[in-house]
Amino acid sequence: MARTLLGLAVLVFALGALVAGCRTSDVDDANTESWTHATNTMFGTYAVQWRTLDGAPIPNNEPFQLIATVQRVADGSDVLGAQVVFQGDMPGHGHGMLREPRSTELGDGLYRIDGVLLHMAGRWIVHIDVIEAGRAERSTFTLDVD
Amino acid sequence: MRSIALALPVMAGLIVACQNADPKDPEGFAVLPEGFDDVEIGRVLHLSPLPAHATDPTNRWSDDEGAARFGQLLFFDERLSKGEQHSCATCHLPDHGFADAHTVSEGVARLERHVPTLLNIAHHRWFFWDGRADSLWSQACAVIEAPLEMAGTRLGTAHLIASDDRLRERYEAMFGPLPSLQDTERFPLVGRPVPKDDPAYGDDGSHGKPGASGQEHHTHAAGNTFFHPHERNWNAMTDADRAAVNDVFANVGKALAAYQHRLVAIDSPFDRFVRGLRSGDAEDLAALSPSAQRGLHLFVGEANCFLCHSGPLLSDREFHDLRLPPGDGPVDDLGRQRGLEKVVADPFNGRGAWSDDVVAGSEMLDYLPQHHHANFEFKTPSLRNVALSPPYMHQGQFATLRDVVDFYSELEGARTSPPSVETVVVPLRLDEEQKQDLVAFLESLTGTLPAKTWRTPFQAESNE
Repeated sequence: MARTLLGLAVLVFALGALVAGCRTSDVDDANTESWTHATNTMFGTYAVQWRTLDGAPIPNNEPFQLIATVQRVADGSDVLGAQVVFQGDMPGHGHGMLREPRSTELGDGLYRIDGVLLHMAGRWIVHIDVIEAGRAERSTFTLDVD
Repeated sequence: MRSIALALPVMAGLIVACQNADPKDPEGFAVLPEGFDDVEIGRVLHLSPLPAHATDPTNRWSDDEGAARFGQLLFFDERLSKGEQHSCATCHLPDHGFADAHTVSEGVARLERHVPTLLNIAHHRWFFWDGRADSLWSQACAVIEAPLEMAGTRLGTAHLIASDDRLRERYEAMFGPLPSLQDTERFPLVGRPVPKDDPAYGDDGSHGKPGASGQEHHTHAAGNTFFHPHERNWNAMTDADRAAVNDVFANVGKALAAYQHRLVAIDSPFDRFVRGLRSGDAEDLAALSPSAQRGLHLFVGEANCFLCHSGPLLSDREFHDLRLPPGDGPVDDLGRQRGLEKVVADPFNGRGAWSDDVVAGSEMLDYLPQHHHANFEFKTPSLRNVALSPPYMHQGQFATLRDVVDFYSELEGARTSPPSVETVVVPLRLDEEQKQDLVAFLESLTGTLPAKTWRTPFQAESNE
C-alpha cells in the first residue's frame, strides 16, 4: 500500500516537474514563472510571488534561498529598487525565526533572499515586506513545514 | 515584463510535486507499526539513520586520520591545562558517554554548566550550550583557554608541542614547521588575549581562584585599565609572532576536532528498528521493545518531542527555553543571548582568518540576528546515547531520564518569571505507563561505541 502510494507520488512529481518546470534552477530560471507561492500585499499595492531558488520543497531546519518577484498590481510593472524583507513566526510556538535573511535585488523585479531557516516542523506564518520610499507593505503566507 | 497572472489553480499541485522531489524525503516504509499513522511514520523515518561522517569545511583536517590521532594525543594530555592536572578527558570521560557525572563540572575550577557528551558531536551546528562556537575546532581552542576549564594559554600550548618530540614530530608532519619559539622574551611561556568578558579579566592570574593572591600581578597601565599577565605577555608580541602562535593554536583545535569526528556512536536498536520499517526485516523490527515502540509513538505524536529533537541527530541543533528549574549553576545564565554575541566576535569563527573555508563558514554567521529574541535559551541536546551520560540539562538539573520525563509531564518547578516565549512547552500529563515507555524509547537510542582504540589514550604501538 505504502509503496503504491510512493510510486504514485513519484509519477505525480514527474508530471508536475514537466508541466510546471519544477527543476533545479539558477537565477535565469526565475523566468520560468514556476512560482509556488503568490499573494498581494495587505493594501493591494504589490503582487508578490516566490519559490525556493532550487525548486526543492521548503526544508525543515536546513538553510535555503528563495527568489521572489514583486510587481505593481495596478499596471503589472516590475518593482525596482525596493527593500524586500523576509521574516517568519510560529504562532503556535510563540517564537519566530533564529535568522535574519537578507535580500539582493536581481533586476526585472526579482529579488533573491538568502539565509532563510525554518528550524522546526509545524505551521509558519511568513511575511515578505516590500519597502519603497520608507513605506512598507506586508505580504503574508502560511507554510506547513514537515 | 512577466505576466502578473498567477497560475493559482496549478499551484497546489505544484507544491505537492516539488515536495516529492526532496532527496531527503524518507524512502518510504514497508511496515506500519500498530498505532502509527502515515504522518507519524514519516517523522520516524526522518530520525534515522545518522551518517557516520560529518563534514566541516572550515577544518580541512577534519577527515584526516593522522590529524585525528594527533588530536587523540592532545585530548588525553593534561599538560595543556594550568597546573597540568586536567585534560579534555578529565570532564569528557570515555566511560561516561564522553561526558561526566557532575551536575556542573569541575575543571581547573567549578564550571557553570554541565559537560555535554562528545558522541556524534561533529553533527552539531553550534557548540557549547550557548552556541558560542560555530565549529568543533574553535570550541576546542576556547576550552583550552577557558579560565574555569583548562586555564591554559595558546602560547603555553605552542611551547608544549615544541618541547615534546612526539608532539612536535606529529605536528610538523601535518602542519609544517613550528615557529622557532626558543626566545622566550619574544615568545613568553604563557600568554593569550584576555577580553573583558573573560572570567579571568580583573583576576590576578591565579585562574579559578578569583580574588586570591597569586604570583602573577597585573600591570596598572593607564587609568583603571588593568592587564592580566597573560594578556600583558600577549600584547608585548609583534603582530607576526601572535599570528604564528595563532596558527599553531588553530591547528591544535583542528586536530582535536578531527579526533572528535571519530567519536561516533550510531546503529542503536532504534536505528535497526527504522531499518526494519523500511525493509520489513522481522529481526530488525524486533530490535525495539513494545514499550519502546509506544514511547516512540508518543515522541513523534502527542508528546511533540520531535519538534525540537528533530532530524537524525534527534536535535534541531538550535536553542530553546524550557523554563528549567534552577540547578547548581548561576540563576542568571542567559544562554544563547551571550553565545550569540561571542560567536560573532570570535576570531576563530568560520569566517575568520583561520577558517579553511570562509564562504561556508559565513553561511550561518552572516544571518544571525543582531539581537536575539529571547533569554534563557540553550542548545537542544542530541538524544542519541542519552542513557550513557546522566545527569541532564545544562546544569545537570535532572539525575535520571525518568526525572526528565517527569519534568516534561508536569513542569513542576518550572520558572514562572520571566515567562518563556516557547508556548509549545506545556505539561504533557503522562500516566505511569507512558513515562516508562518514553524512557524505554530513550534507552533504545544507545548506539555502538567507537572502537576502543579511539576511546583510550593514544598508544602508537597498539593504535597504529
